Amino acid sequence: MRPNDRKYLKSHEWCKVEAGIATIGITDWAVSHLSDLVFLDLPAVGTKVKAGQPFGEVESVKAVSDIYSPVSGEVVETNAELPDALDTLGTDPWTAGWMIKVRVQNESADLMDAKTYEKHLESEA
Amino acid sequence: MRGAGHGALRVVRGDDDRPSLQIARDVALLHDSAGATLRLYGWRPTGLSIGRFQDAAAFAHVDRPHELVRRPTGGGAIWHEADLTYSLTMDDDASVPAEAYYDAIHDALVRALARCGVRAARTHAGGSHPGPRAIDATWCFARPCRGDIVAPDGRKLCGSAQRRLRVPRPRLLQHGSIVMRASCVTPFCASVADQTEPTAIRDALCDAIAQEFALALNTAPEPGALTAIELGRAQQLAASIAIPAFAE
Repeated sequence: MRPNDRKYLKSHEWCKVEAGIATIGITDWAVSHLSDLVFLDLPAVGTKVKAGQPFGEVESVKAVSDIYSPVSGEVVETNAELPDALDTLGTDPWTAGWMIKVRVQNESADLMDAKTYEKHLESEA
Repeated sequence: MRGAGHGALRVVRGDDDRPSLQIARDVALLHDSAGATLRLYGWRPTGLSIGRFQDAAAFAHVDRPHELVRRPTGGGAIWHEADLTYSLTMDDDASVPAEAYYDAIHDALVRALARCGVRAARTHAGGSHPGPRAIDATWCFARPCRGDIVAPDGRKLCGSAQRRLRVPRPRLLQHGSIVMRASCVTPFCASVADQTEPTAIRDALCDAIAQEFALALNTAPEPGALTAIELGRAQQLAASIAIPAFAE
């Protein structure tokens, strides 16, 4: 079971909102499907992100994929160490593998709880 | 391999054209089209395409005339002087890892090459993919990675890369280049010319690729053309894909 203290997108990002700040990352399922990660591009602090739109990109085995934002708002912090420590995503995608923190204006209407996300994974299998 | 849905594989055999326009057409098909499309094309003038995250300045030493473009896909730089490029855009299955698409498409390419008398194989002995910092100055063809297509002497003959979208719907672009004749800029490539005259088999190779890709997708090839909407969208995108000479 994935952590139930956060919400999920079908595109395999998670967000955990505390005091108006969303911490955002990608799920263990996404990481397991992105083998041999070589590059992660994250937005700068101050960037405005929009729910459902890409905020970053990741490259693995010469395949580039977008990372989508679960919320709209302004980036207030990025995990600056993560692009140089991509193994962290494999070992701890839920805490140390966070990517950005966003001051939330509004959340995506497509966010799911952990149980619904698990069912979505079953349907994709 | 799924991806064509219930439709045929549209096969678009294009003329040689500007590198920025060729990449822009691939991007337009990825974002704005439905179904599966295979494009087969060449490059004129000569192009140098770099991977999504590569540093253009790392290739500033290349002094032969070319148009420099950035691909939306990963991997290393490619010198497009005398190559045949394929691009496959289709609906994606998010549960399929990138390697599975490489395997299926590269197997189809190996069969197509064999039908034209060109011996090639997917390598299982290649190195791992370059690390985060190493990709900056890497040529795609300098060193085969696992799953790449190599000539009998082990040198790389074809390299591919992907872009995957999840939103608004899952779509995949995989494109790659078959070296028809090696250039002095990238002399380490294997080429079709090592085994046969490239111009003599180019048309037959295009036919064979279309047939083998359609077989891999469990559908039929259907000759077609890009729509006016797709061409217009590509024209709009082309300016953002060309990199002004060493401006980065």
